[in-house]
Amino acid sequence: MSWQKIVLFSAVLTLIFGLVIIVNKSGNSGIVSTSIKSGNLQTPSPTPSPTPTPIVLNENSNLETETENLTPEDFSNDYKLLKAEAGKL
Amino acid sequence: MGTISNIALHPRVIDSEGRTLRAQTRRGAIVIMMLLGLIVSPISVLARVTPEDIVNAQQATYQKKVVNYSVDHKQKLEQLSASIARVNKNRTNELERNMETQAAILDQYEKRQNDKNDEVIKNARYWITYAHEAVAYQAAKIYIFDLSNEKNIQGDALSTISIFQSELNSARSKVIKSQNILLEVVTK
Repeated sequence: MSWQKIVLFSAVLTLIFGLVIIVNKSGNSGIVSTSIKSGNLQTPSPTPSPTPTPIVLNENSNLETETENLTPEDFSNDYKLLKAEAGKL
Repeated sequence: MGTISNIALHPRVIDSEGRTLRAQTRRGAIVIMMLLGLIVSPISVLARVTPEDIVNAQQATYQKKVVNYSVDHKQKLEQLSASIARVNKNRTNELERNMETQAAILDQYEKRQNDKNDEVIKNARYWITYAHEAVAYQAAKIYIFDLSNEKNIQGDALSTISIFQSELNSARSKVIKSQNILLEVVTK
């Protein structure tokens, strides 16, 4: 087999091999869910909290006060409850 | 010396350095294989593992391990998983609203400035965008228990909760940081 044929054959093989890998990877469909399937199990759902009214800002708004009021709540209690739930395992 | 066209007729052609055709071909094949390796590895990198692949792999590992657990433990793990997802969703929604308000406050401030304090506003906007993206990234996260064995189920669950706590708190800290920068800007 001549040099040119070897090089050409190798290049074609590489292209095919590479395409197969890329197509295989891009064709993957995966699980994108926020929770594991529960089947027939009843998971207690808490009362949904009402969505807060969005703040309306205009030229008369006190931007300093509005910014100060934005401090997020402390999430410690959430973690305590989760750990308590884990403690029941 | 043989030419390309008649080399097949003269298999024992020897080149100027004394190598036979077979030796030349062998050497050529080794060079080709090395080149192939150099070409294939970037292609493999291009077809790299995605975050979805990682989640799917974790999910598969979890399902393989939990299948041998008791029904009670399976149920409680599922409930805990749902609780973590719910807390993550509620808190990231809250942080998301916070970030939207911060952006609106900065827009209002910018309107009042009439093209003054451009650099200060640009800096604040950078940190608001950074925090906003961190919140979005946290909201998309999926927490799957990394199980060792059924006897250590509590430890495994607490370990996942610790990771969740650390990551959600990190997103919260970024929101607070951007808030502080915004406060500095609007109080000037």
